[in-house]
Amino acid sequence: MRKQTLREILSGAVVTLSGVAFSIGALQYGLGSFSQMQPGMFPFLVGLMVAFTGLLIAAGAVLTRAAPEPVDESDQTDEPVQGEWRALLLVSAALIVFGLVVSRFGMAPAVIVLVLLVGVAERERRPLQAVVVALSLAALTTALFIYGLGMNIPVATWGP
Amino acid sequence: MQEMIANLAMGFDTATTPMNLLYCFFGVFLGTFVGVLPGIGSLAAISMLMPLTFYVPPDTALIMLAGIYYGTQYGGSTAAILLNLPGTPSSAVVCLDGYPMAKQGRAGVALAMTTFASFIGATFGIIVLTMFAEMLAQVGMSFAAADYFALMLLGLVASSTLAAGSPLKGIAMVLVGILLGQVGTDVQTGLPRYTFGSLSLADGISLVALSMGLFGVSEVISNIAGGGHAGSVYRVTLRSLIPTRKDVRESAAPAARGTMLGSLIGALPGTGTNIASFMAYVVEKRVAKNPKKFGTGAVEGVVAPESANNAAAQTAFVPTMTLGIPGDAVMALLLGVLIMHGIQPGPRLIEAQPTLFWGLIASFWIGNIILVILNLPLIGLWVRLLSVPRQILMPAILVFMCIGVYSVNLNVFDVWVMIAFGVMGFTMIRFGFEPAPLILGFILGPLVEQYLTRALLISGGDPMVFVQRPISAGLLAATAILLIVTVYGSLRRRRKVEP
Repeated sequence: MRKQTLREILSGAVVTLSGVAFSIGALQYGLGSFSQMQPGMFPFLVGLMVAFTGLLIAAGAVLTRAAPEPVDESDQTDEPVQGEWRALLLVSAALIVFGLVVSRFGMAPAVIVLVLLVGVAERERRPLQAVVVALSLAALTTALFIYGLGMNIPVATWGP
Repeated sequence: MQEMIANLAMGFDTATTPMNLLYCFFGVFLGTFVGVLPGIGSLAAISMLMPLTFYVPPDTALIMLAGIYYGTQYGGSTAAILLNLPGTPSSAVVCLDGYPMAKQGRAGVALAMTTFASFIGATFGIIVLTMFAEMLAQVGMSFAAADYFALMLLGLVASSTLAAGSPLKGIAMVLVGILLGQVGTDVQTGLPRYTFGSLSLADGISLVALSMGLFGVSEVISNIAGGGHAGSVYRVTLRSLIPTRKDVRESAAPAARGTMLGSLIGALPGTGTNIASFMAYVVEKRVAKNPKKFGTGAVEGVVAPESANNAAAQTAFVPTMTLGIPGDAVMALLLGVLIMHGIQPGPRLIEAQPTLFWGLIASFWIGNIILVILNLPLIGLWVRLLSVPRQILMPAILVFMCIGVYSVNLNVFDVWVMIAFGVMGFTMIRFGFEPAPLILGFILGPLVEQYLTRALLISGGDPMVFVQRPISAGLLAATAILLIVTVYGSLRRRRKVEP
């Protein structure tokens, strides 16, 4: 079986499973009847449609042996290369750290940590430039959002 | 006619307040900025600025966000011509002849002609919008719940199947979007659905967090993963912008054709600016006396698509503002912003919010004039922007998104939601699923449910109500045909490729 076919079957399966999950979840809200729809009816039906679409995606891949779809530049369906997964992991980690820091220590520290961690995710690392960017963005966002727009976020704090 | 002039005058009163002028300028400026930058599109930029709209009245918010949208249409061609990289998907086709023109030392002419073409297209698009908006809203008034349901269905199916990629995957994304829109408190009964007992989800998934994740975070990750696009940028002097008489003569007819085509395509549901510019190029190639010159720097090849996508960007507001049916994901986001501000989209919008609607239209005129100034005398600024290292831009974009999403509710939960959808969006794109239809489903889903429930309540549960009304029956038939043609076509096309 070709890699492409496997990939399509996998995506179809994920779609089907999420549809089924929503439909099962919908049961607890009550279906009612068509004339008096309960809150569960609509998501139940849409969930089934999602599941069906997922099956079609997988079936289409098997039936046609998934010849590559007409590819244009913007529609990259290649499997992610190693560097992409790395960027995905590191950027998400940087964002999570931002979330953890911003509520406890304020905006400026969160911005600095975020920029420095994103710098690690870059292919070409430039530590000095990252530090400069981090400090200037912290100053800029503080001026813009906290003093300019009056957002209610502390600049830097030792809060809970 | 007189009424229209009075309405426009009222619109200009709204659009020319200092604050609205400032935000209009800011919107088109930022639009040109992200349009010029390859890899960051209008969806990401609009999501990024959505938190800001909580600080301003809805008309100002809309003027700014709309400015980003049509501003990107101007900026998109700059990178296409100078770097052979489309700044926006709709300017991809401009690369074909724009880049060869730059190689021949005619980058300035190409930039000038695309700006003129953009302005002509946009101007005509605004006129169409001004003339037909109220008419269409009148038609919309006679729609019953069943008709609305059918119309939304057509819009959703059209936008998911006609967009890039596999139509089946597009439909899957719309449906998943509808399901995600179910999260939160049910409006009819007050029952929380899919909230897992979390208070943060009681109001549903935050549109700001969702769209920033899907479009912003995932695009930044792709950019960081992709490495730099350091290439030589052609220098553009003001003198080189001046086109020859031959250029102007050759561009007139293509610009007119592109404008017409774009205006028509933009107003249809589900067909955005990408299809408009692509089709305009194809038409030009077909009608040309010498089709061979396309791809080698033909001025017609940059003028027609650019006038088409700008016309389409303006007429896209017709169904959005008059019927509450967004043609593409950007329009859906704008509707989402209106809903966040407590404004109900639909045929009554123009009547209920005349200053908002006419102010928006007036701001289009102003915005397009600002754009011509930004894109001609100031072109050097944008060319220089292309050489700013991404290592500075990408962290800055992330910082603005993070602070923006956090500032809405001062709730870290929204940051987690954004990250989750960022990861999801990135993965989806890699598996050939476009995230744009998802946002359409997410925003229209609750409305679809309402209209379905209401239509069935009136008919006493009889689903025949959808085929008994002629409007609804016609729309559903169109939806069914579209569905069959696109899905069947995609399966057949794939089989053909197989040896």
